[in-house]
Amino acid sequence: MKVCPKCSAQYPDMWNICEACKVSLKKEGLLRKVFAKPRPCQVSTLSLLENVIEQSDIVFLYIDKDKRPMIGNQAVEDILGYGREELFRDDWLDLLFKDKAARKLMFKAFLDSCLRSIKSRVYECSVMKKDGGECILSWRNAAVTDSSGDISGIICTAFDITEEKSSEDDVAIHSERLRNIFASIKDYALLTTNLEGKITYYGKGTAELFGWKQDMTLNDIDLIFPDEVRQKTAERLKKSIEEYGKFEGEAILSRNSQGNFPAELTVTGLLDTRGERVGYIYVSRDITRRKELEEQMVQSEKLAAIGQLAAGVAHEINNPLLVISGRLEMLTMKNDDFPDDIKRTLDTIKGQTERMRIIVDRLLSYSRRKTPHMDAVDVNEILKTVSPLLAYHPEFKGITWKEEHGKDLPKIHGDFNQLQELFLNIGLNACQAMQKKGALAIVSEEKKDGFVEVRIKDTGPGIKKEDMEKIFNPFFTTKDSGTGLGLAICNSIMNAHGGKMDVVSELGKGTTFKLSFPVKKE
Amino acid sequence: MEGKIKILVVDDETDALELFKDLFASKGYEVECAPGGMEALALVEKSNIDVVLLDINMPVIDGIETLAKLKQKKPDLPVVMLTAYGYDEELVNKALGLGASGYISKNLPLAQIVHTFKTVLSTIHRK
Repeated sequence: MKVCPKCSAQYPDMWNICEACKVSLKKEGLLRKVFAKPRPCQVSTLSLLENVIEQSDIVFLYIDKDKRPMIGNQAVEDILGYGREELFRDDWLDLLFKDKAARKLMFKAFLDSCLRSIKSRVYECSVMKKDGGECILSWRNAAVTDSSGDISGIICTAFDITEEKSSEDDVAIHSERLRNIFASIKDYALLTTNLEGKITYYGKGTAELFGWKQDMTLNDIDLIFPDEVRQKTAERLKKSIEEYGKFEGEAILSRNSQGNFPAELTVTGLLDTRGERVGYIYVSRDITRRKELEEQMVQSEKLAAIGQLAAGVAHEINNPLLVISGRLEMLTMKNDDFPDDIKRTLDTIKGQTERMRIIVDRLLSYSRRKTPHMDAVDVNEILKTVSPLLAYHPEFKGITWKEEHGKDLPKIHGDFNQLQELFLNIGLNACQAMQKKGALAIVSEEKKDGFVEVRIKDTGPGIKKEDMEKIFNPFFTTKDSGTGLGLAICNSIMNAHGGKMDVVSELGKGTTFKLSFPVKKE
Repeated sequence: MEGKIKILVVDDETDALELFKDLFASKGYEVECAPGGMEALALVEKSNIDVVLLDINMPVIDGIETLAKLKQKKPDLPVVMLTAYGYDEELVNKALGLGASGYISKNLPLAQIVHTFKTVLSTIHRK
């Protein structure tokens, strides 16, 4: 019987405390930790340690100061596949490193360093197993000293970290793959930021889109927004991310002091492996071209609508105009003996109805649904017919003129009459702009890119920058008596011919219309 | 020849109709008028029309439909189309395909309208 140290009660000699205290402590979970009685041990400490080492998953090796293995555990055999008797020899490193001479040297150097100091050292290396495979071991070696304090050998422990390394390699491979994907994406700019908005990564495509140098110091994400909209855009993004967890929309982005561009932008959270947001992923795409096409479509629709309206107006005006001018004509045909003041009035009405007729004619030209009669045509042949027509025009007086027709021009696919109207319109415009003083040049030549180009150049006052975008709009004119349909008609003729019209103008110096037509394919 | 030819002018615009009547009458033609396609079809039945001047754009039945019906009734009757659209290739081709002898744009001076009409007539007579 013993006396309980907690309550002083007597109890049988099985536990360190009495039964009542045992129940109480059991409830508190403390019984086994503190008061469980150790069972009597029948084995020696040394033997126990030997067993533990032998059965461990960790490689244990004792190497003498000549770097020969002397003692090893079962893990040596399990991991490396060699029996201990196969390994415990002078050239054991040849087995582990075979033809990897450099690796063997490194490992020897590692053992040497362990023998030089009692400080434990860590080393990772790949070794060959008996079956020819490789395994990666993480060594933690420490020198062993004898009773006099001299180093007598090394205790080596090694963990097999092959799987761990393999998964690390997988991560590295995936990371590299992702990096390559990022780098290969040209149309989209991808970049990541941390939560504070500092750019943490961007790909090559991103650098190209934003005009960044590859070695540029990474900075704030706000840099991608132009100064004038930076704050507003940042607020839009913040609000959307707070409400929906992401931003999807269009934004104006800045191309590193090379101007701004419209972009599609998506911002989503960058999550870590636990799903915690650690930053943001920005994906953007330059949509300048798409915007231009949309603009063109809107413009085309607008022009088509104007065309329809023009046709309707022309038709409605044509009939009353026919009656007014017809009746006037009949009146003057029958009787030309009017007093002077009535004659003047009739002449004015006649002049104005004639003007209306020209306007209606132009409206009809612009809106008519006539499709061009496409044929193989020689641009020079058309230009030859245009010059005499221009020369007899009153606007041509006082203008000097030069023509250079390229030799052996390839034929283009076009409608002779429409192209004649096109060149005549632009030529007349040029003459009108010069106001009876200046030089007109008409040049044709074959371009290398499969186009024939006609250039009509004047030395007039030039076109103002703010007017440049509007000159092809129907009813836009800078002339007092212009209809504003001439260049609109020219534009529709160019479009019907698949051609391209560029206008280069300098105030005070003149304007050049460059008309490019695709060469007709045989 | 001029004085003997009887023209039927078809146009829904009364003032235009009157103008053509006076114009061609002044040139010695005999002129009948119809303000629409239905009236024109009725007139060609009872009147001895030599040539029809037919406006394309008309309500109820337009010039193209009137032309087709006229040609059904009298395949040899020459019909000259009048158009306010200027040269409208699609409509003109359609009319020529249905047997129209030619077309005259209303957007021309009167002298030219008469001249064009005479030119078309001469080609009809040559045939």
